[in-house]
Amino acid sequence: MTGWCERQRNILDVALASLRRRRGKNLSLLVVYSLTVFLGASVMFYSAGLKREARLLLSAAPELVVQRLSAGRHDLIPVAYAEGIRTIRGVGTVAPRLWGYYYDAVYGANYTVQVPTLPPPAGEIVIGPGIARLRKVAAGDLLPFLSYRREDLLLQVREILPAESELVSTDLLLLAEADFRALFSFPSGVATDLTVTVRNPQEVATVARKIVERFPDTRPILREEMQATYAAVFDWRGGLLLVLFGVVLLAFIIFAWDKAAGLSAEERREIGILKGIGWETGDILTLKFWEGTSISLTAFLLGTLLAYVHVFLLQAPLLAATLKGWAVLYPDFRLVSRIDAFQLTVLFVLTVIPYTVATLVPSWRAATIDPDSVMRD
Amino acid sequence: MPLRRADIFGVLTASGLLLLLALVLRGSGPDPAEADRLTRLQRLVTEAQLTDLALLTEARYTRHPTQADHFAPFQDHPLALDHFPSGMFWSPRRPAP
Amino acid sequence: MRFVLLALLLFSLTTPCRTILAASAPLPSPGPREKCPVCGMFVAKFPDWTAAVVRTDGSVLYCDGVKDLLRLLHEPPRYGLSLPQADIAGIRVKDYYSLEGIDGSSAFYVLGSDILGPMGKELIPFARRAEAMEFMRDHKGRQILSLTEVTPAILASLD
Repeated sequence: MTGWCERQRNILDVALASLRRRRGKNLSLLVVYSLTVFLGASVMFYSAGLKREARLLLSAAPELVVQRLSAGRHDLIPVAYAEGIRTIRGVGTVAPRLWGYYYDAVYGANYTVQVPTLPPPAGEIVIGPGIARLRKVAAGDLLPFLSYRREDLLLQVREILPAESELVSTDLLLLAEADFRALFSFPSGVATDLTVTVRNPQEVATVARKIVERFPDTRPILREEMQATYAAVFDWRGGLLLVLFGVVLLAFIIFAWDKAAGLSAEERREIGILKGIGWETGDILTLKFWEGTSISLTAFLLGTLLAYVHVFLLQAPLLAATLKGWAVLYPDFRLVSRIDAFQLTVLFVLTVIPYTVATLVPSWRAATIDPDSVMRD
Repeated sequence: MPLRRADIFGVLTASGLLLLLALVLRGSGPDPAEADRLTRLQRLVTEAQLTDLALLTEARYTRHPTQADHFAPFQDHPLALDHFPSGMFWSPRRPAP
Repeated sequence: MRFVLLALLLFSLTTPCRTILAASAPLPSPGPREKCPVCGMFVAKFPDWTAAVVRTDGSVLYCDGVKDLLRLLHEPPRYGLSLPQADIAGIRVKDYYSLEGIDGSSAFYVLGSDILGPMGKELIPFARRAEAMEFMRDHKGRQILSLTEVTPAILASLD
């Protein structure tokens, strides 16, 4: 065993020395390889982190939201519907939910305006950190809003939601029901939608079915559907980026193949001499294996560690830039630093194995060089 | 005796792998601070009755994808190009419950 | 024989109040290490399915579902317990709709529904007959039974 170890150690030594002799070529290979791994790992960590966050946070969302549809579009729901829904067996509470959007024409930003279950007193608002950043306000300041009647509405900032809640609250503006109705001239007797709690989670789907039977113009949205929507969105998003990653990977494999296949005269002579001094084909293959492994392992480690820093410590600036749209308000959030063995395994299989396969045939060809013909050249 | 290249490589690679392993373990163990954060955020989500993440605020269907109509990104006709760049990242269908 | 005795006893206990609604009866929640004596699973993991026997000395035996509770009541020695009728102070189950503790001896149980408990097919308890009927319609139930009407043969059919 120690003999075998010592032998591998010696061969690794030769492999590293040989890599070092062609420093430029191998360094460029390492950089491109590491970047490929970095890109794939960043996409994977980022979308998995967002997916996890969405699933955990939305597990606290309302069990059931009931919207009213009018001509196939979301419409205001009469609060009277709540009475009817409350009589369905298994339903706990039914609460009207008031929410909408306020477009801030000065800053070009959209706010989500909502009345929470425990609203602030009339005249006061609780705002998300994104709005506070954009409008440069602190708790106690007054914020002017233009109501739908073209009247100025001055609301005092009671509290700014904590920075850790950015991902759900950055554009949130929580206010009292009276202010909500005044701001939007919102008719009484209706709500944006209804939230329904169901005591027994097993019964949610049945309750949803009965709501549609009783009120055919409504659309219930289950909490599971909300979570599934986000899972699908991030899979789709991650999928799109992975397609790009696939193209990059393919380009890299071609690059690696080219590097490995084009044996320079110097390399051929080197192998010829090694064979001449008694190395066997198996030894040359081991040498080539160690050359490939040291490059791919180093690139894998560099790429994943850099991706970890990029996604979790630097908040993924490269990815966020490509995902952002035209909005003015963006959440400034930090994902929970969490990677798992499965992700690393997938990355390893996606990046190291194609490289190994791409260099397999060229190594074999190199190992079977006839020393005599090489040294004669 | 000077350090051999193979040994330097071995030590560096092993420490890299160990670091990676440590990062995996760090994420898998129980984390009281993280549990507290989640409890606080879930309370906010419940109290404000939120249904969505505030990731993209430019349009109704990107701010509240779970509350939007199925066809929201393709409002005008099924093949309409989306107005907002972030719509590119929107899946055109809603998963079946 | 034991089953007949038990059935008779339960019947005699419950007959006077069968016509009135199953009163809501408190169901203490099990501790985290509490195991179901029939299947050996932790009961606290399935709070919606808790069923329990309250003994006269105040101690409580928890099961994760009505099915296991009835198996225990029919044959306590099989699960290493002795449970003389005199020791049983009450039976508690959770109403499916409200998830509140109710008196198990006067509850209505729906057999054959498509709702599965932690141990598979279950008898689903209800405080009111009307609720049991509606549930039966919604979830393809076959039959509404009282506690005494559940025979070991019916329990065997739930495996």
